[in-house]
Amino acid sequence: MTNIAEAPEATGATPRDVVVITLPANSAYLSVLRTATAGLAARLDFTIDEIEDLRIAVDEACAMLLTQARPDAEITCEFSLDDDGAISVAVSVLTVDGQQPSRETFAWTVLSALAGEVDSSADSDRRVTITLRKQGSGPDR
Amino acid sequence: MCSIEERDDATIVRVSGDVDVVGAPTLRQTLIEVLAHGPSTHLIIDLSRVPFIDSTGIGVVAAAYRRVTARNGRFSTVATSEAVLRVLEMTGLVKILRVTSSLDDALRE
Repeated sequence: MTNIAEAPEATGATPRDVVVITLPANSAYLSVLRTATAGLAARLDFTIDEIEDLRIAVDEACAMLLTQARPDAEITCEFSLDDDGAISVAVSVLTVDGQQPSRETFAWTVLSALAGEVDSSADSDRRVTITLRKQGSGPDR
Repeated sequence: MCSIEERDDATIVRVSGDVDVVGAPTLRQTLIEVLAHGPSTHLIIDLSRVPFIDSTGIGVVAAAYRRVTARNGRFSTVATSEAVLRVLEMTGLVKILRVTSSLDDALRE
């Protein structure tokens, strides 16, 4: 089940838009998520390089979580399009072990180099979340 | 996803499609087979038709680099797409993997 929900269009008073994408925790859907990520980054006037960075970073975060996802779990990506021209992304999935991803891996190095701000957390129900935030330079900044 | 061509002393592995966690195992298998057949003196991995690569794919390319250089072979990579070059530059692998912008340049390496 693939389901894309977009928050209501901003009317001027809303400080930010939140887009939540839920996908089966299956690597076959990674390319869908990358495409959606690029589209959202383009909305905030990210440069080509910044769009690539975010696209790769979201892919890395999801790929990391997929290795420990419970069978039949869903992966949830929440994108907050901030009014200062940044995108915050929280990727989360129910895992078998509740372990936070190792920061000693090549994948984590790539992720943190591309996104700037990266963190991870684990809940008591073994939901593991990776959060990242990418600031765009944009034409107005 | 991968095709193989022998030219002079070079083996060219042409890759197309995304080399992410889905595509990387296919490339890994191809490279294992190519390297098992053996001792070509120059391995060229042509990523010019790869629109996207992530750390999994880069790991596969780097593993092939290690195998080739361990047997004193030459290794080159062709890359042109924005996303692929971005990862190679960011990880500092552009020089190590001898990245060129065309197959002709790689063959001259």
